[in-house]
Amino acid sequence: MKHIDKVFKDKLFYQSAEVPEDMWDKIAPALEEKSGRAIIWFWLAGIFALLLGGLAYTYISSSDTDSTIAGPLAKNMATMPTISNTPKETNAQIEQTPEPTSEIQNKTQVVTKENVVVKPTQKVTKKSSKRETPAKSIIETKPLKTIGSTVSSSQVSPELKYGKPANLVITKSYISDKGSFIEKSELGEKKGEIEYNVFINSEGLNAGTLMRVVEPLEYIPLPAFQKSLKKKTLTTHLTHL
Amino acid sequence: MSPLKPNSLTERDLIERSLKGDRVSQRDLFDMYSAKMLAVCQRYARHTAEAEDMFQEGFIKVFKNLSKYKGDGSFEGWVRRIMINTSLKNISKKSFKNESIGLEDHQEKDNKVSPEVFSKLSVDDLIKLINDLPEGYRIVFNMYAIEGYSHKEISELLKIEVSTSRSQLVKARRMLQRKIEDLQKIAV
Repeated sequence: MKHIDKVFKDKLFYQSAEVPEDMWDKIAPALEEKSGRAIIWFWLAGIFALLLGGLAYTYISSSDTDSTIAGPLAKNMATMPTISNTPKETNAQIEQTPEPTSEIQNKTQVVTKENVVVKPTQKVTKKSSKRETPAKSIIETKPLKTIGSTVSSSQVSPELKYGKPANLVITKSYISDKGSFIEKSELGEKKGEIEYNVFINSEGLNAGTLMRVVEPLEYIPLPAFQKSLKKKTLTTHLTHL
Repeated sequence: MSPLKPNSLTERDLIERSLKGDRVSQRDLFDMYSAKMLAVCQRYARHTAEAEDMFQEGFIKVFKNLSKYKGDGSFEGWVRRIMINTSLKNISKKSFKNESIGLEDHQEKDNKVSPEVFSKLSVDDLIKLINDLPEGYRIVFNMYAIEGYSHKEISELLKIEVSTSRSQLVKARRMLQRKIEDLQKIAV
């Protein structure tokens, strides 16, 4: 090191300067700002966590509600209505039987333009000797693993693959096979069309069965609420979940 | 060596408390090093207002980055580096002309000035001498001669060539020497 460097270093390296009185007052607010930001972020994170928790709670609650709705259906499982479709041309008749349990019939049934009677603890006997071939079936059953929440006819959530008996909201004429049940309380008016729910029981012998209606029906008797619906067309297509 | 603390707390205690947001400890740390650090900034700044701005900005960085100090070296050294880096941020690269060092640059004659003259120079005289240097000379001389940075470190920090750093240092020395000689003549 040069001598000149040493002179400067020795005298200036540890040199001090007089600090203005207000210097700290200018620095401190900047440090407060940092703390303030940290607090804001802390609160934002807390609010976000609460929102997430709320959403999760709402989601869980809605799942529970579906289960609650479907719960009573499980009790009625033994007396679930047997729906049968009687071709109009063959003047099919339906007999009621006092049997408490539903009777499960073919997994593939036929519905054309006809009267369909849905009653709890019904046993349907077709007197017609004429029966359409499965190729002309308008109601199909497909096995379901599990069904678990409210479903609209046009929106079938994959979540329905899991859970308890399902509550299907169908806005147009619908007929289902064993395990279906219509509650009067679910009736409602929407755009001039009667809207009702069909609950699918997923625990019976016909467990996980969901009917798919592919042809128009004229009448859909709904004895559960003493009403018979007339539908010229049936456009609801329920697909396999 | 750390200055004496305003209270019985050690420097480490003050740092830890400052990290937890203890404003009193932060103030104590500030009081311990503010005078020295303002002097550092004054050597790099062109005027007092700029020095105070650098000093303020530097101390805010110190407290905001306090958690990065791992205690490897002295705290004072760490704070000093932050102050210097903050000061250098405002230095224009144009201040450093990339000049090669000629033979004459190596033939420095710093023995023209007698040691007595150096000893008579006050701190204020030295500061004035440094502040009168062109910016590039002043920065490199400060960093090399006073702070002890190598030319390689200076070149990296200032993003200039090592040769430029050397050149600026040589010219700074020569200019300082000339000015001291002038002072000597006046004194005689």
